[in-house]
Parts: sequence; C-alpha cells; structure tokens
Amino acid sequence: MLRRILQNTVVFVYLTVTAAAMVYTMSRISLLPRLMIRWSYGMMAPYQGDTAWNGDFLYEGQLPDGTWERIDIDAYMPFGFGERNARKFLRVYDDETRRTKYPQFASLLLERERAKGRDYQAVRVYFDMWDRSPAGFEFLHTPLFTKRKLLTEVQ
Amino acid sequence: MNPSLTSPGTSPGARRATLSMAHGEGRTFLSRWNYWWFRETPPHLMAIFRIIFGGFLLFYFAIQLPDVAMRYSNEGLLMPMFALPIFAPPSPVVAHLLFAVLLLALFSFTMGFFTRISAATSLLFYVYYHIISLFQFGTSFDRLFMFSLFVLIFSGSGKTFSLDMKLRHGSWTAWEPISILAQRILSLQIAATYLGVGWQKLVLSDWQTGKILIYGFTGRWATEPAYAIARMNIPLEYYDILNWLIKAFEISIPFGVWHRATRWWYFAGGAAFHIGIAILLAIWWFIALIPAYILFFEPEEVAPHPPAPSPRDVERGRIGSWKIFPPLRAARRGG
Repeated sequence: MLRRILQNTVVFVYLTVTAAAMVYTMSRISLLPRLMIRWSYGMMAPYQGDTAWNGDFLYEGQLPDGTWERIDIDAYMPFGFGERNARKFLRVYDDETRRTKYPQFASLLLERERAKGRDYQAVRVYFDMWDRSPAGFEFLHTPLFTKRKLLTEVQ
Repeated sequence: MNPSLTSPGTSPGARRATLSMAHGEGRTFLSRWNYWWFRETPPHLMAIFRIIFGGFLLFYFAIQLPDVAMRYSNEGLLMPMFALPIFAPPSPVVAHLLFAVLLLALFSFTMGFFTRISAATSLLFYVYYHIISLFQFGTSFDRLFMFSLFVLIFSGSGKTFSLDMKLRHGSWTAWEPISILAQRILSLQIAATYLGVGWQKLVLSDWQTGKILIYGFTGRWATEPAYAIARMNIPLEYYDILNWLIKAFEISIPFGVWHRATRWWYFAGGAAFHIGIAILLAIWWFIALIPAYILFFEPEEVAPHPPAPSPRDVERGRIGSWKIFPPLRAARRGG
C-alpha cells in the first residue's frame, strides 16, 4: 500500500512538473516556481532561434613592451567547433550576468597564460560579428565586413 | 516474483491477455492506471536499454579522455556553476583519477555489476562534471542523459543480461521481474521532449519560415555538407516546406511511436532526422535517442519464452532464460 502511494506520488510529481514545463515552453507562463521546472524545460526546448550573423571572440594579451598579441584560446577548448563557439558566448548566463562573466573569463585566461610563463600585463577581448555566408563560416570575417566591439580588458 | 511470468511456459493465451491489458482492456480506470504504470514485467527491455545507453555514455566520456585536463581541471578555462571549494577545478592528476572512476562506474553499469550503485555513481560524477564544466555548454541532451541515469538507478535494469544475475543466479540471462514505472517515465520524457521541441516551433517567430534552416546551414554548427546545400541556392519555398515537415514530424512523433501501426515509420523517421542533424550540423549526441525508441515497446513484446524450468534450475533459483525476438509473431498468431 505504502509502495503504491509512493509510486503514484512519483507519477503525479513527474507529470505535474513536465506539464508545467510544457506550458512554460509554449507560453512563458510559470505554473510552478521556475526552479522546479527549469530542468524539465531544459530537456524540451533547444534551438529556439538563430541569427543571420556569425560571431566570434578575439583574445589578445599585452606584452611588457605594450604591444598586443593574439591568444589562441582554442587550445583551452578541446571541443568541436560548434561547442567551442557556443561556450565562448557564455550563453548559459542572462545578458546582465554575462556582462560580469566576460571580465571573469578574461581574468581566468590571463591567469592561465601567466601560469604557462607568458608575461602578459593585460588581456582584452573583442567581439566580432559578420554576416553568414554559404561560402563558409569565416568567409565574410574580414575587416571590411566585420563589426568589432571591445568587450572587456582586464589586468 | 510474478508467477504468471515464471510458471512453466507462460501460455500464449496469458501472453495475449497481458498484451491486451497493455492496450487498455482492463476493467476500471484504476486497474488500467495501475497496470499501465506499475505492473511487474520482465526486465529484458530495460536491460537492453541499459546496455545500449550505458555503452553510449561510456563512448561519450571515453572520447574526452585525451582532453581531461583542459575539460575538467584547473588547466582549463572553467567557471563552475557554484563558487564552492568542492567544485574548484582540481589539478590534472586528480581530474584524471576522478575521470577514471566515472569510466569505471559507467563500465560497471553497462555490464550490470552492482547496477544500482554504478548508476548512482555515474550520475554523481556526471552532475559533478555538469557543475564544473558541462553547464557552460548548456545542452538539453546532457540534462536528458542525467535524468535517464537517475531513473535507471531505480529501474531494475540489472535484473537480466548482467553480471549481477550471473553472480546471483549463475546465468547472465537469468531474470527477475521489475516494475514498468521506470520505462514509462523514460518513454514519456522522450515523448515530452519531442512534443516540447515541436510545439514551441509553432509559436517561435524564428521558426515561421525556412530561413532558420538556411541560418543553421551557414552557422557555427554547419558542416561541409550543410554549406554545400546552402550553396545550391535552393529557393526559400523549399526550405519553408522542409520547416513545416520538421514541425509536423516533431509534433506527431510523440504520439506515433506508441502505436503499433505507425511506430516503425516514426522510428525510421526519427533515425533519419537525428542522423541528418549529425551529418549536417555535427550535433551527434541525440543519436542516443534512436536505440531509446525500444522504450516504446511493451516489455512483454521483448520478453522471453521461459522454458519449463528444470528441477535443477528451480533448485538453483534460476527463473528464466531468453530467446531471440519471437514474441511478437507468437502473440499475433494467438498461439
């Protein structure tokens, strides 16, 4: 009897949370606290949109003589190209949080580079944005067709 | 132990009755509810899923082995979900040791050795890696895999085709009945995932035309075959049609996979869909859903025909043995 009650409770909770997550997926209305449905929602709502542009990040380290050189961040990201690019965007955070996470990420990179013996005084991060092209991901990633914005600089 | 499953040569009539009940011919709502959600069933279907899913996870993590230091140690660029000491990325040596434990747990789980503990250990480490690194990727498949592992802890999937059964009953194919509840939850979750993914596309503005497919074929995930398709300059109308076909498929598959008349078509469609995504967008992880379609069968369709147990089997506590996939035809013949 107790076992059957427990089993029915499990079923009830599961169906309730899943249904609430479904409602949130469709309507952005939270029937339950968001924390309760977050996981379930996360299982059923990938790839909700896309953009007409591609983007990437440029990381540079400042040498003691003041010049800047490019840092190959891909060495720290042994993932497929899509995952690497997605992780750089720090998409898991909301816009406000991301503004604080970019400097944190840059600081971490500076720390790692210094641990490898590279005597950088600072790290700066640019965000590049360019139109997508059937000719390839990087095809229009040229100075003429790219918008570049400084995101952060850390020391 | 359910006598109807273990008595000598479970009769075809009993099996037909079982399958009929599985399709809702019980007497009351409550009896149908209990039968659908909680009845005891042979464990073979869940055992097969355990082996396939466990093997997939083993592969998923094993290919990360060369890069453990960058992925999960303080040599990488990790910003854990929680800034707690326990989640501070460890040294590369410790990271490799922890990773080895995960691989061992997954191997043990796949083999059905201390199945429940192996599943729980695998989940614990998966959650740990999610907190320190994987969450930065923020994928639905990681969540699905962790959820599945959690359910499998309680599933009884080690009750056949397992080292546990070999050690307990002297045979890899000995089996003990389990509750169907875990299978129901997993299959419903897969259906809910497709339904959510499909239904939301009906309302999301980006999914109202085929342009999103073109963007996908020219974005960060696109592979060379995808770019080649994009360069064909196919008119937008064809992408619009493809967009609607995808939506129609994703909305209907959560229902179609449950019906015998349609499920194999949906299995084939799902396989083509996920393989196509893997080829065109390099998103290969959802291929794990293809073998998971087995969860939409009734366990009795995958169940054994237990022979009459020999006195020695009874003495040794052997309950049944397995034959390869005759049940469906036998059930249809009604004999």
